[in-house]
Amino acid sequence: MTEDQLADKMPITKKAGIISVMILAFFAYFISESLLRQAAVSNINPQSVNVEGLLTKLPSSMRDSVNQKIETTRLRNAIRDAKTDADKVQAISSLADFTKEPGQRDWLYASVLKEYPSQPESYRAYAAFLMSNGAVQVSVQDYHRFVSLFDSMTAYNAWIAGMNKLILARVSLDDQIKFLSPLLDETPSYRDYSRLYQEIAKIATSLKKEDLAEQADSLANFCKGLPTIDETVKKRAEAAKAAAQQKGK
Amino acid sequence: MWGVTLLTLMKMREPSFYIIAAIGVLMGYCVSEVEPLSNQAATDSIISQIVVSESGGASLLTSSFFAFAMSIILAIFVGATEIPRDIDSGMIMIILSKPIKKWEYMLGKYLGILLLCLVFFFGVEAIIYLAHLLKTHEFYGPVLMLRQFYLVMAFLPLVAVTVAFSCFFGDLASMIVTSMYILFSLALGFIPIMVAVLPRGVAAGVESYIFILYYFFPNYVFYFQTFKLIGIVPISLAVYSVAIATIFLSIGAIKLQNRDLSANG
Repeated sequence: MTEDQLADKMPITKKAGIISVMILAFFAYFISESLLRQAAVSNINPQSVNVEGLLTKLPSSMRDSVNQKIETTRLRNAIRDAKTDADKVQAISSLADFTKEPGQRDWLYASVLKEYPSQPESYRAYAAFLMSNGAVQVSVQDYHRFVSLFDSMTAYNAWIAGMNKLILARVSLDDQIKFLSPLLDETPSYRDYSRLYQEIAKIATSLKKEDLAEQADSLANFCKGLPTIDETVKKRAEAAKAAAQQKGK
Repeated sequence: MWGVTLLTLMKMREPSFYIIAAIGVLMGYCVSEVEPLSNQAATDSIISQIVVSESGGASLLTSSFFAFAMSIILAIFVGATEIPRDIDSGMIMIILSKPIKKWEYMLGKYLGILLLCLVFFFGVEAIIYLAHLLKTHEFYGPVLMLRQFYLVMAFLPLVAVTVAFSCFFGDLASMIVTSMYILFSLALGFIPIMVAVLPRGVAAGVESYIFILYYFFPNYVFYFQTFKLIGIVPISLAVYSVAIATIFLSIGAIKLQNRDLSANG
């Protein structure tokens, strides 16, 4: 190294000085950046931002995975924020139906069966394992026991979910009719049940069980004169509102 | 140091500066009546989250944004080429033969380029205000006018970045690297806003990595937000600008100190 080069080399004190200035500058940078970021973020109203619009600008491969991530996070947040058991079960069930992670769906539904076995909203978990061959199984008897816990209005969704599961799983018609048969012993209360009776009639006709088909047909016809579940709920809400108003007066 | 600053300001006498100044004047006149950014951004867009503030405050005029963009181009063209050209022409050795230190030379260049950009920006802003007066027979409100000049703070880091890069590369490479770096800075500036609008936890896991990358770039988006002229935001903005400028100038000074400054070096 020549003498000139040595003279040109930065002295240690000067180097230390610059580094001290830089440390101070970094300190000021991080503090001011944090304040400015908070000011910028505090103006934001996430609800007013069209996230879907932003995502459409991404390449399709990336968009799908980001969408999946956003929806999964939203559902996980819904589970965390749920205040009642009903909300929690609904949120877990929605995540179970949405998730694409292998084994996650069964794990989530199994946790519902374990922790909320008597919750009306747990019907999706029962339906998921109805007559399945996996580690967790729900027999037709278990399902009937679950449905019997609730009134006709609450049980309707459970019946529909169970029936759909058996149809999708291509379970034999005998098993399907075995699953739906308790309905034949009940007097329906809502028009919505006609769908279930029509299904029984259809299966019974296929199985050449005319007696059952006739009985299911007559119950389906009986249902047509009944109010729907929606109408009943609406009427009850209106009655409750009127009663509250009367009480207020 | 002031001698170097004055030498840099001599650029204003060059025909290229007159040309860019003429373009600036013309553009300032044309865009003077464009609505403020806050009125233009779609209400459900990310930009609107920055430029619209529910708590009030003065917003940025779109015309000022154009003036700023033009000044960025000027800063890159002049800032990224001054030091490399001085090295190539041997001018730096002549200057450094005087009783002036390398860091003083660099600081002089920085101040010169900064003043050049400010003269240009103030000039275009003046044209914008005059054009508005001519077209509408009304002045802009004083608060609104003052807000536009807060953009001046953005030039501190911007010019420091261009000068710092020019200490590392030749003039063309320096221009390209600086342009890319500023473009990245503008894009990455939206990261905190994006993280805030996405559902809580979506970015969990990658958030820290994204923010590490984010901290390597100055956030120019902060200068565009709507804020009150007196308060914590403008003070933080001033500290932020000075801090970034100091960091980049220090990096530039270290490089310049250790660099071979001969023309064929």
